[in-house]
Amino acid sequence: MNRALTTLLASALTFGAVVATPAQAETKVGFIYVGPPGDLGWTYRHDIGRQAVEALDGFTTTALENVPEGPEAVEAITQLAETGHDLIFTTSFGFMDATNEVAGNYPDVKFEHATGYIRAHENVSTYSGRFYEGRVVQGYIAANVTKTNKIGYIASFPIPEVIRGINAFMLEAKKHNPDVEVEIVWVFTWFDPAKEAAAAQALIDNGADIIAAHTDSPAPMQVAEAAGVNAYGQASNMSRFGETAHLVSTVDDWDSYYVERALAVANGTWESQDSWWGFTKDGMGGEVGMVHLADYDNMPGDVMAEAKAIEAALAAGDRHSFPCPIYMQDGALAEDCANGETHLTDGTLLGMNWYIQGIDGTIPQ
Amino acid sequence: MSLLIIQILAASMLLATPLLLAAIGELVVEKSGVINLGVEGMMLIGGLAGFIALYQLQTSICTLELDGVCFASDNSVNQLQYIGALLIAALVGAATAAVFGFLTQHFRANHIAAGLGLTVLGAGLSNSLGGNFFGVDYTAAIVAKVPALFPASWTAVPVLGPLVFGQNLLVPFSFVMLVAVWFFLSHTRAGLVVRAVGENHHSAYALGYPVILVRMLTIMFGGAMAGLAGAFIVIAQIAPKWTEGITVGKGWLALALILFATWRPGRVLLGAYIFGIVLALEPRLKAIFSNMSLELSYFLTALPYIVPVVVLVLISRNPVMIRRNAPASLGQAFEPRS
Repeated sequence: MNRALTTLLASALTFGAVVATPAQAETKVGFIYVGPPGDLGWTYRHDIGRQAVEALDGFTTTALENVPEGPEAVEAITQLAETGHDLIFTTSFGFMDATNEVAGNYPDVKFEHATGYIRAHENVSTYSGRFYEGRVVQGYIAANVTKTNKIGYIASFPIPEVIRGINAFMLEAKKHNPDVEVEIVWVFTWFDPAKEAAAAQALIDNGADIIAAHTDSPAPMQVAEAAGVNAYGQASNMSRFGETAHLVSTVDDWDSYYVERALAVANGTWESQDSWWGFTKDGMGGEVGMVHLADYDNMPGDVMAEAKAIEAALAAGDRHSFPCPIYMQDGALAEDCANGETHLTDGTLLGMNWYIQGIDGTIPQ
Repeated sequence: MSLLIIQILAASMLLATPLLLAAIGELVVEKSGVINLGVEGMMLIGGLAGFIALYQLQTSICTLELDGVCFASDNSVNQLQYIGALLIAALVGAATAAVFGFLTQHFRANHIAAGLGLTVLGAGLSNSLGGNFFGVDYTAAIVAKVPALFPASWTAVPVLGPLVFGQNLLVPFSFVMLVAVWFFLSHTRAGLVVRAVGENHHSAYALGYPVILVRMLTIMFGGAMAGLAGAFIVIAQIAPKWTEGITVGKGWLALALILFATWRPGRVLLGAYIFGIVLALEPRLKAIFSNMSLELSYFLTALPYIVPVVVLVLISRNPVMIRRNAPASLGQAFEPRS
């Protein structure tokens, strides 16, 4: 009896993280999160998007938190598909294979995979934000605010998404301050506050006076605040964690996309597609996109004004984040530029696995 | 160069202290013949409790009030408020451990299953309670930074400043507790009883020792120490911030540390600090040699986990010593024979 009690307790708690609401002939939308919404970063912003869907009439949502990336995710996604969800968002790159595998087993369910590029079935879409547009503005600010000319960059995994961010940042920074250098620390995790903090402290001890992070927690911002240097907010507005440190936050904004896709399922107009929205949906000054910048702080007024002008130009399509000519690490002209393009193409950006000129370090091919 | 060494040592104290606190507690638990795998869960619940307590205890002066609602405030924390929060963390950690104690000692549940259950309970419960359960979303709550033990000007003193004066209260406390536990286990009669219960609970019971009571007490001590370890991670390691799952496996590391240290307090200390130093060294090497290959970068990331294990295995491989230090009744349910 005692053993049964213990087992029951353990199994009941395993599914304790499920946030569920009952459904009646409504459109059910499921979400798979890689971390906790309380990270106040990446997962938090997806959960804000989920709440926007939940607020619509006729929609209910379910979220599974802390789902491990890789094959283990199959079970979690299947669980949502089995329980009558019509649309499932899997919100991390590492869910790519699992999403496509489950999608093959449930042809009537629609799947949306964030930041991936594989759409193996008719019922799979992919979507991501052009977060590198935020990095361009960050790079401009860094070039003008740094005193040591050393930028500390905490990077998670060597995937195109992260490398693109580093390149966009440094391309713009070098344009305005050729002496600026970046030191990259790969932490190989999306979320580990102690590790992110240790990396930030190491970079600051080594002379960096601006910290950029491509991980999920505000720990680097908190360390920068304590050390009296500057930092950027990542994925959500992190200004509250760095009153004197915070420069600007790149905020992920999934609300419009999630609402649009949920309505498409309800109306029967959903189709497999790939969406990549920047500051604006079309990149030409149209509807609100998937990325915005929040709370410019702690910089001179003229720097702030020019940073905002760059943001506006990117949003309106007046300029591109990666304008030609762009030289690669070895000094060669980027292929797109050699082929007469005015900027790098989306195809090149999606598969970016090389550094631009001026960044040290190697990336395995 | 010497500055670099001091920076690494100071950073390693922040990284080693939670491991040391949790491992000291669990060491006593295991010495009494109980294995509690729920360290991670107790750390999360204790850490959240400490954070909530500090949030409530901190001095908050409203700087922008409109119609009785405060929009901006100036928060500050003193040592006394911090100690109060730590006491709450320890008490809540002990209470959480008591649930495990009740299941394993009263109902004689399997230690492994109950411990794993406690880990899952801790993760789930702290997620829920730290959300909006009490009317405050603690994931977004702001708590002021805890001041160092000594005046801020003292931290400018070379060497001693960053290593001693600038440290958090729990860092010296972890050393004191380590010595206290070592002394208790090896030099006191009560410590002998704890070890006797862990070696052979039937003999200890026949001699008239209250096996179940002793084990309940060690389990609750282990919970209190795990609660403090969690509070250190949430409040002191970076700056106060509650995040679900913030311990990211440190409880499991503490458990592994005891095993590889073969239940010896001195080696637990050694293991915790090797881990801390290598973990503090790793990002510095990456920052200084920023053109290193990614393969080497991957390897450096694994080093903090490889080095302590290798070192502890090498110095602890004497099978006689392992037999002498490992509690013989570890993990066995005790049923008094009448």
